[in-house]
Amino acid sequence: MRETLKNKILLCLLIIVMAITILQGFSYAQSENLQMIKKSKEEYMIYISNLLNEEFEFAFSNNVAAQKDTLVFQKAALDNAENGNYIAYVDSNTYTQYFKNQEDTYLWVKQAENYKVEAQKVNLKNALSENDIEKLNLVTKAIKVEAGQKELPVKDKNGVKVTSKIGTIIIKDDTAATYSYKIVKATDTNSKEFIRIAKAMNDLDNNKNIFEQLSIYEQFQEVYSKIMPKTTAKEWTKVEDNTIEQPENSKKGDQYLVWLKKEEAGKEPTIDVQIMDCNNDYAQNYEKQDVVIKQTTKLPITGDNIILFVIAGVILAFIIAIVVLKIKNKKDTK
Amino acid sequence: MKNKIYNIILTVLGIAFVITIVLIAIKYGGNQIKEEKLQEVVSEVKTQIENIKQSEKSDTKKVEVEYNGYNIVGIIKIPTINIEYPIIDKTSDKAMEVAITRFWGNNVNDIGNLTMAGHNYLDGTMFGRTKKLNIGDKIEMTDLTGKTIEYAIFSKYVIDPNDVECVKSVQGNTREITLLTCTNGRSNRLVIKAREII
Repeated sequence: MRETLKNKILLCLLIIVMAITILQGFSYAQSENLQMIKKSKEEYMIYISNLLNEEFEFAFSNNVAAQKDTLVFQKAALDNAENGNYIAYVDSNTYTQYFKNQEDTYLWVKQAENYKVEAQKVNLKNALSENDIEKLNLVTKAIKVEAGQKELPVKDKNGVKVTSKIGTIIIKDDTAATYSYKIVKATDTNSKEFIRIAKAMNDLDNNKNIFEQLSIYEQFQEVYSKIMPKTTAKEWTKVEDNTIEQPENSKKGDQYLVWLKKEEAGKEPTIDVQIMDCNNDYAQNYEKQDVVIKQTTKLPITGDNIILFVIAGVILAFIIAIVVLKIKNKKDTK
Repeated sequence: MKNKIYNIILTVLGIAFVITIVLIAIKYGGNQIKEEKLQEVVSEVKTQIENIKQSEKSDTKKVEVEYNGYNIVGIIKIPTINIEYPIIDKTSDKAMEVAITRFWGNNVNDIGNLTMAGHNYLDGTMFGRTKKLNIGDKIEMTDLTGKTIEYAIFSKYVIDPNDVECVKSVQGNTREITLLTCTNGRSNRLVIKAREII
């Protein structure tokens, strides 16, 4: 009997745990429908996926099981006077009533009597402020740099001349600040995810709606805060000649995160990051010297042909001889 | 009677002498005409190099000049003895009558030793005046991309025609050139070695 009761309790516990897990998953999935911007301490704009261009009504409650007919619905506002998107606007009154000092707040959204969102938990702590967005937009641009190439001294490997070009990041910031860097090969999931999102951010354009943009910003902020090194970490290396070189063991296709730290007297250090794509191996060009396989046994004849001078000399000698003989003969005849 | 025979022989010898002198004049006069033509070839190579430098694909294009059916691989200039010639890509008796020839080695201005041969003409054309060169004298080599590298003479010596060691590099991993020409008639070779000035 006791055994049966024990089993029933265990079964109930198991069901409860499973229900909580499933509900949490559901809640997480639902939160992907919302993106928020913090306008001020008590003002927020909530964007609802797929309802950016459609009017709707929304209501908040602190009770997840609130009856729909007890909810107080408000009309959606526009985030911008011209070509604005529809939002669930949290003004200071709404904030005070539903969010301030409340544990949980839930959102309902409907169009006519068709509910689009029901009892979705709203966590305003996830909202990005305009200041946050501005800071995120500055990532990779906070410290001015230029990508370059540098030729390394020629090496000789077993008679093969090896010339190497390496990628460089050159700091082009104007200030007289000191710079240090930390270079990390992007092999872990977070770094790869960071590079993916950073590239998506660079590709952000007007074709993406505000919801998609905020979604990218949110992902970026999350992963950026995970991988950003501490400013006090000892592994920072001082930048020499304003140039950071491609790591010596890097290969074509490798990606590195190059963290840059700018320090100025009396100011907080600025941290920025660059993505270094290795388009070539560290030592990529092998210029072979031709191996001498033919053989030569004699050098070419490059002397002038003096046969004409010899002939001329011989003829001249003969002429002189004949002239002498002729004179002698003339004397003998006399 | 004897006198008549002497006159006939003298006449024949005189004609032969004149013919020989004319042949000598034709040979060395021809050398001067050849010199002018070679200067035109040098000018053409330089013009093509300039045109390529001004074109958009200057880093990939190369000059292509032919002279008397031979490909030109570069230009050699030796200011000390005031000569400047195109270099033909291969050595043969006929090619050496045309210009300076590449006897051994890679392209002009490549790493390694490039050996060039030129006739030691008595009128001083081709390598006829290289015997006047001294250690430290400069030689300029221009390749077909237009890159000119200056070399300085570091060695000058005479060898037997069968001694082919001179075609090898003296110092690895550097640019070297070797000039070859006959000396002591055709019984020896004058070797002049120069290395890139770094």
